[in-house]
Amino acid sequence: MSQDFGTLARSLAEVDRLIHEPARLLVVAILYAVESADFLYLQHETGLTKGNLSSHLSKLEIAGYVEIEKTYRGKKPLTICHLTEPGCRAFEAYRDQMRRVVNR
Amino acid sequence: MNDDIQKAMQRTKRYWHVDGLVEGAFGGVCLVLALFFLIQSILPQNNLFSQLLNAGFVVILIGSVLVSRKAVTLAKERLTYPRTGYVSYRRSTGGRHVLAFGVAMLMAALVTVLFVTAPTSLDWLPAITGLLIGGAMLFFSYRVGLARFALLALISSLLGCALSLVGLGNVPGLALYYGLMGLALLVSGGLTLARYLRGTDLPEEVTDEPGFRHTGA
Repeated sequence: MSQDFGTLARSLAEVDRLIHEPARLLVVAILYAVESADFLYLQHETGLTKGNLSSHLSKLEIAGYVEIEKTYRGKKPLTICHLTEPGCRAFEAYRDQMRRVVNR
Repeated sequence: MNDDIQKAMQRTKRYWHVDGLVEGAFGGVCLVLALFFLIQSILPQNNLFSQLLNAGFVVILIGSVLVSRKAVTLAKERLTYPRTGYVSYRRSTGGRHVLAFGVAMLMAALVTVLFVTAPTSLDWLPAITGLLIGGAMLFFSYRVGLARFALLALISSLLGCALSLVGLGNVPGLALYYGLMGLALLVSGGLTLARYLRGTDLPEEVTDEPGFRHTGA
């Protein structure tokens, strides 16, 4: 029993805190499902404000989980985001960890 | 995993169909095919125009698919992306392409064998077409979780079987099948587009998102 609790506690402690935050988890999950998505789509899907989403994306970018490309479509600015390979692996690892914790 | 996360992933996967433009375009392709079979059913078989039309069937089919794809892209750039954003999807893997090609070839071989061994079964072509397209739509509906495609699958199957049972013959039957199916797809796409446009607003002003460096211009 105590051994089980210890393993569970270790699993929870090992969870990637950067992805575990709900808004960032949502962003990463959306980007995991596609090749890339723009800022407007992420804002529309997550319901976050521009500043808030921008802040979360910056954290994910600094961690190397997300790549952000700022470009234009015609004269309109377009911010394209996509999950990097480490980002994909981190999300998969997080998902597996959560599954193990929940199934315990 | 959290239900909201799963739902967001599922919504993202089916975002391509959020505006009904794709099924509307497929409806357009069906109407082109309906026109093709209608002309075929009106013209005598040894007519030169009919033979030319027959020879150009693949060109007409591929041409209408390419035009409809271009139309969908242009319409999405004007209507969808400015409202709810842009998403690009991963290309299907080689294995999935091979599997889809294999299934298509198997179905074509089965239909050919059926027609060679029993020529009267040509009259069942509208039913076979309706069931094949219906089956594909039903699978798609299950995969992306969109109920309207299951309804379209039911319409396709019932329409194809009904037209074969009425005994119109294969070419007029196919003309009517594609005509009615094209209209059903256009109605479905039109209603979906109307609902999408009602539920979304065009942002008044597109401003630069803060905090990201420029990598292209």
